[in-house]
Amino acid sequence: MEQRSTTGTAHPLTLVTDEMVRIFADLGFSMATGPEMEDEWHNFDALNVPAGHPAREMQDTFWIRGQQGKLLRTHTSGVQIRYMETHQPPIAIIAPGKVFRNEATDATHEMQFHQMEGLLVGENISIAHLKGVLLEFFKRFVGESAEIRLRPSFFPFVEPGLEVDMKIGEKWVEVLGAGLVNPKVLEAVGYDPEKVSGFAFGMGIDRLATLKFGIPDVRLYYQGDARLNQF
Amino acid sequence: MNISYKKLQSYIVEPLPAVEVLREKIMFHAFEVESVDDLGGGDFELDIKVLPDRAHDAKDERGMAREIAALCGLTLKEADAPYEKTTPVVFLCEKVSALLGRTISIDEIKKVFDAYHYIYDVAGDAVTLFVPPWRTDIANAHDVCDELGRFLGYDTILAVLPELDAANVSHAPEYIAIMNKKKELLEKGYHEVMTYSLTKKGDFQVAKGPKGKDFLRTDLLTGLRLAAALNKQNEVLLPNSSANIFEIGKVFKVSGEELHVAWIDESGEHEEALTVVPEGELPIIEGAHGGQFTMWSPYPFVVRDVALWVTEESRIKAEEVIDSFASKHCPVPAKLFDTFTKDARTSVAYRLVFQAPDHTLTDADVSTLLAPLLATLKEITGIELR
Repeated sequence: MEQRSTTGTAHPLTLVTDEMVRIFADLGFSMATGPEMEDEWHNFDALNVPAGHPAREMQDTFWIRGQQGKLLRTHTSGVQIRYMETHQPPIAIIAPGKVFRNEATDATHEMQFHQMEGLLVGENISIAHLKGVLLEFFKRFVGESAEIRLRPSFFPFVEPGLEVDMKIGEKWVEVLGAGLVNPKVLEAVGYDPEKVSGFAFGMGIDRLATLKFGIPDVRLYYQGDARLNQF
Repeated sequence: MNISYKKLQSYIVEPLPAVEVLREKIMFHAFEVESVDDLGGGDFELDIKVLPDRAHDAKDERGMAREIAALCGLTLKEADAPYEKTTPVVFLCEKVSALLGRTISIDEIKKVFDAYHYIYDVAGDAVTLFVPPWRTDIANAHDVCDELGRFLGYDTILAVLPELDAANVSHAPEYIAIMNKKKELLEKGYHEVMTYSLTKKGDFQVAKGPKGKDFLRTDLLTGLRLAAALNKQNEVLLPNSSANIFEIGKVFKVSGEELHVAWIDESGEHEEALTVVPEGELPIIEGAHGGQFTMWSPYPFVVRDVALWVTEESRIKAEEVIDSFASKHCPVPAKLFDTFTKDARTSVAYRLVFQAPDHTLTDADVSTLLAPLLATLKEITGIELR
């Protein structure tokens, strides 16, 4: 008789996050975490998104009533600010965690999801290094044949800003945003942009899990249904 | 911005490249192209996403035509008026090469700046770019990198893996604590679930949140109870036939943000703050890390039990037959749920679950499915159906 497992099953986001953390650890990235209820400085101001900046409209924010400047973080980029405020370069970190967007939900959008921020700051860090790290990550995550391509984009905390696509089968799929850390961000944490440079990227963990396992609807992740745990 | 191919052409002297070539040119060197619609008669509508940094210069048709003319090496019918040399950005060729990670020659910089008709001076390795008033986004060497990188193409930059110190990598203590607790509960047979952080009651309310989900949760159990009820209904479909579940996540109280673990099992409900210690090892969580998801059926399942008197030898044969049957007809393997011996005979009982992907099964449907299995079992010497 086929033996039924006696152990429980892990959520697919746990498995994917764990795999990503281990790949980046092998590449030399430590891990940092931060609060989900964030302040305006770490989520926006220090990331070169001051009040009134049109880029704030790019991310629909859950502001906390009666708590001046408090919000649910819209990305894990705030963790890079917290880390840089307390550490000196060179630094190489990833920051996985839950983030929130006040937007209508459908099969590809949720009001909460998980993101992994990556940050490397040191002397002469370049887009070639960003490309090298991301290509190596995807080779280990999806297979040696992985291909990526970079396209121009805009995020206020990086300059140049880039979209990164990955080839899946014959199709290119947008998988993350990235770029060189904007000198204004380096200045905000007391770094000298004439001496150091860096790159940052933000990956949607839910999106990567969806691509990896073929899960058809991102809303399945938060329904509490253990039948999702098939891996 | 929606703009037609023919309208763009009206700003430019030479013929535009074919629309698909133009789309690629825009995508890889300037902006995202959301869609290209065929309007008929050789015209197309391009939906181009102009991002905030270029909202000033590419906000209208002429601005877009200026960008496209530069990218494609074409000529605007009405050139921009000469501008004042009022906004210099000074940078070293060496600096932009270092930021991009590839050697950028002075000739390449000239090629890019000439395409946009920028005014600039070159003195050795130093370049002074006099930024035109419509390009409010160019203010420093990083902005120049953006201009050079996108124009020359990011595909011209080779991937270089930086040499980092993987031996001294550290993981956040919070993450280690979470993974250790997950491992402990998984090994005890609990399934991990995730629920929403926003709920209908709490200490903190979000502005303009969705109705009924506009407060931050103060505990995990409120969401976990609903999940427990759902999983209890589907208990037989879970790999270990147990609906014991847990969640680890943040809760938000007046006293602050806390990391909690909660679990629900036969003994009841439990929730506590998760203790984070400064140091520790990252545990290995078992998982296949592969495979493809299979969506479960929305239709109800039917459970049938098959009980047999068996000998030691016939039991082996019976289980082979039942396993084979379940692998073909059931969403989960058969489960041996009862066994006892009486008067030198052994009774075994197996539970089989049936579920159709596209309709509700009737008793008759299940009986029809089961009939060949029962017939095969009857033919095995030493088996008696109970």
